[in-house]
Amino acid sequence: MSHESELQSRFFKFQAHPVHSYIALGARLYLAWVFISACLHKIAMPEAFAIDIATYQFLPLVFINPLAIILPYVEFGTGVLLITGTKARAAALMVCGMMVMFMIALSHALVHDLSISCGCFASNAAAGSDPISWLTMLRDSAWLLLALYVVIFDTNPIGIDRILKKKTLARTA
Amino acid sequence: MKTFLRIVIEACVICLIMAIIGIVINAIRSDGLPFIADKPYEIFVPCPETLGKVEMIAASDPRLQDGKSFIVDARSEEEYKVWHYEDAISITYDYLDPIPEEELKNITLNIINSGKERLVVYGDGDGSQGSTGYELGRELAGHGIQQVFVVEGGAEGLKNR
Repeated sequence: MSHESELQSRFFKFQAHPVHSYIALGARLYLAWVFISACLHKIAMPEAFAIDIATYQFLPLVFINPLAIILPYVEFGTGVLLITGTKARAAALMVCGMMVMFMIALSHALVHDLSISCGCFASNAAAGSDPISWLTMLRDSAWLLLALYVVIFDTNPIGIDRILKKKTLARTA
Repeated sequence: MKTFLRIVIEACVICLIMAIIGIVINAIRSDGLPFIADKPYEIFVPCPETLGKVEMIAASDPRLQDGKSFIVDARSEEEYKVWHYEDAISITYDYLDPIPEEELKNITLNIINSGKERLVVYGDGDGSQGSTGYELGRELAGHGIQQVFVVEGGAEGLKNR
């Protein structure tokens, strides 16, 4: 066995360890809580969220409303899938995508010295005390790492998918 | 690799489904947004903080007379004409009529090029926060000048020292 394939088989063995499912479950529940609580005000007040996006001065006008309309529901769907364990790795990959997107917008605002609130959990107008900083970037990076962990190591996520898989296996046996 | 590709495809499908749900709900609700904004949003972004830190200096401090201080009078020109500290120059500070950014930059450059070691500002009032000397000192400090001092007691303190 070549050195490379030996490393690969070691990685797969480590990846298949059942403890990852439990650690990932904690990460999934936490990320789900973050995303569901983040989407509620955006769904309730789409116009305020559109203004929040405009405040970042990052996107052209034509993209602001579509993003304000779609993103909260994507966040909500992601949260629900992470909790229920349905397509959990795909949901975690969506979290990764969103975090990268948020971090790009955030660094643009920080580099341009915009004194704005994050708008993550409340609109800018209501969240005067939540200014963006490099700490916000650090927090987003931590969430990105958690989501990456789920994508890479949660090969058999605890939840609906696992139950369905067991039932299918029992039926075929 | 195949597994990862499957995950990516699943993520795209979920995104698409949630996007359609979002668009449909937005179309139904009474406070829904137009899909494309017809006019730019009016946003309010406060200017970046341009105020720096200042230190207090006593009116009787010998550093005021060592020739190494650039001294600025922040009071009105009339008050400056009536009395001003030896060698002080007049830069009137008015909270309601801020000094234009370009002029502030020029003043800052002049101060830096003067070769003095420190900037000392005095104005109305006792020199505490809100007084003209303190506020002008913070503005100049925010424009890159280090070693900015504000005279305790302001102009009156200097007169009575």
